[in-house]
Amino acid sequence: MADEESPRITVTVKTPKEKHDVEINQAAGVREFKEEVGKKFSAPIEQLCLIFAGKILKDGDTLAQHGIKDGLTVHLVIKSSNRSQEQAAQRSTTPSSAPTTGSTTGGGAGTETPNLSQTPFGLGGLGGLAGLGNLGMGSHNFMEMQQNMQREMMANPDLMRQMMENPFVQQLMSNPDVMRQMITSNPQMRELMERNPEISHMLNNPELMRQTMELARNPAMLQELMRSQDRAMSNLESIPGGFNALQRMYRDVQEPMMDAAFGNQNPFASLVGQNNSGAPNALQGTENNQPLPNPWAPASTQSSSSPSSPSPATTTSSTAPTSAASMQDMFGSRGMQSLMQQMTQNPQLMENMLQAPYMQSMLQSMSANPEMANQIIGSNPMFAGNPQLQQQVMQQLPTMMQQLQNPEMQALMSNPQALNAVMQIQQGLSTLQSTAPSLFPGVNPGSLPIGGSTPTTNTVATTTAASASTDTTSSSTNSTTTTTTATTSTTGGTTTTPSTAAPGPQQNPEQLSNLMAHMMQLMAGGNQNQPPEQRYAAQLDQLATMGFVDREANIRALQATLGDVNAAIDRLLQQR
Amino acid sequence: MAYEQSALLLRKQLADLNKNPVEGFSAGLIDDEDLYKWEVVIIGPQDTPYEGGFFKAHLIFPKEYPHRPPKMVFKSEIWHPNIGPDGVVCISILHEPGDDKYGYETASERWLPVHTVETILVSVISMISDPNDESPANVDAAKMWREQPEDFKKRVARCVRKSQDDFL
Repeated sequence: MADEESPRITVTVKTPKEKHDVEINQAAGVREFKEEVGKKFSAPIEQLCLIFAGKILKDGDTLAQHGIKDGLTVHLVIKSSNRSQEQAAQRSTTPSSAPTTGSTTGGGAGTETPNLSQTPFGLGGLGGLAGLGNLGMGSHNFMEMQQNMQREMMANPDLMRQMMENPFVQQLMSNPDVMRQMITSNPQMRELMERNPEISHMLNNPELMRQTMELARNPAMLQELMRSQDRAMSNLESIPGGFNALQRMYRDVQEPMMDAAFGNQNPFASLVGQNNSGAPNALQGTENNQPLPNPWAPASTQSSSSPSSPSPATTTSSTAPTSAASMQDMFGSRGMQSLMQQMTQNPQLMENMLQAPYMQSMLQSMSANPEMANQIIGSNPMFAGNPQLQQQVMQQLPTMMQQLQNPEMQALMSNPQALNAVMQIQQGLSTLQSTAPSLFPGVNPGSLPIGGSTPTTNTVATTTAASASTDTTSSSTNSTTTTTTATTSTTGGTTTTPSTAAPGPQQNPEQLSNLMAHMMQLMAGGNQNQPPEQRYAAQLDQLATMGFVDREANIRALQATLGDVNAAIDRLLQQR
Repeated sequence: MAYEQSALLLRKQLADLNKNPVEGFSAGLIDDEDLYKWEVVIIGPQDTPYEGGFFKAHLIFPKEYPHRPPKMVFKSEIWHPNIGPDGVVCISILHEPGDDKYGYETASERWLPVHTVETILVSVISMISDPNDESPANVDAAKMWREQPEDFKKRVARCVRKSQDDFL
């Protein structure tokens, strides 16, 4: 009835956050108007406060009284009820509780879905690179993805624990060199270390690092440690002067650590927080001994990188073929094909990946230290039963790494045409394989496993394949000398073999020996038994070009920092 | 002449603000007949202790506007280093134009004819979120803000609650 008498007006209602248009009868009262507004903003009427032209609209007033007309805007403040205000206050004063609640929900999700393929990372997503794209790798910046990853990890301590269970990761963790590199390449950690030299020392202690990792992996152990620490603390306190020492320790070590943990949203913070809060979590307190589902298993040929992504080393090192996969599997695998396709479609992604700072430093350390790469490969369960294969991969690795670092190679990787060519070769091979299996006499599908088309394998494979096309002779001679090795070796370089085998079987023996020598040299370069000036030759050069001329001091610093140039520079500067 | 100019300017500003309200405050006239007396409600800026409060204030313009600044007085109780216990806002842009006799503020920091209700209130809101304890109008508040931030927050929270109650 009233509708007919007076026209409807539309009033814009805005809060600092949102804005809605509310339609109302012009003659309506404020109370009526509030009901409408409450519907739009889904808030109880008692919490609404409308302000127009410097005046608060009271329930008894009418809109006309305030001169509210069509098209005008009214400010809205949604008051917090007293209770929620308290909660808000709590939240702001104890930021530590926030990650806890986050982790409980995340942890719950984790317990329901221990299967990695169902993690929020979308690991199970079709096609490796598509999965990577979901992870944010497709985005401009690899760092962005890192942040996402950290967020996810924080929200899901179980996943983190699972990740730590992964033999790859464990292997990585037990290598102080890699650990340090990872830590120092994290800006937050670096900042922490700069501010607190004591902590930097702690992080330089590989044994301590290992223990910490062990703790993060094993909640039961963490709890045990906390208990025994409490006891030790109380013992210490009863010693004369002990309390003072404790206080000092707290001030010097614990506070900055806590600051860093909570202030910087350290992924470990949620772990500790969760254990403290005793949040309901089925997995809590029980040791999780289940290894990660093998992402490189033939069944799930897609997407492997994510759990270990903070350490791209695992991705690069995963040139592992699966043990039971046959030649057929490799060429025919849908995963491989889709991967190749994606690579051709998205060269940008590859480029991003290769240019990421983490990747670069990882590759560098891998090539500078084949020993480490070997260890990683050695620890891979897929290789365990197959020493022959292991050896071959190890032999291939240094060259591969070298090639991966080659800027020309990286340019190639981002060249869609080159990728297309590689894909064609690969497709041709698969047809060849299916129509004329006898062409591959050396391949016995059961005993000489080839396959495992993980995205990373393919990355490497393509690189090598591409390199094969750039310096065809070297790799083809290598492979043609013995057909068996050629076909069984896992790198993509072999894929070019059959096609290029015919033209030059023994044409370039010289080049072959060159290559072998090169490889030998590379492998020797990383040998731990080498004198430090040889082992750290690259780093020494780097330091020299930076103006650190005292070679002896440089070597000492590099030795002390296990070859980490940045840490060595810190050391050298401190000494001055 | 000057009288007409100021009335014209203020009327225009009022119309503008009614049509396109600015984030953080709402402005109108105390009395619809008097363009020189404005009533504003400042919404407590987010992520500050003042969040959730609505603080009523009056802006009193001189006839010489825009050559001389208005006065701004908070009618709601508000605990802030730069707002006096009487509610008078102490902010450099509302100080009479020209160089400060104490050499404390430069002319450019003081009143300029280009200021409007909008720019004044935006400055005030910014001052509320980021107090300047160099020249406090409320010395006790400034001291508390500097030395007992927790107490300061509690005191402000009380004002916020009070401002909410005032309007219901």
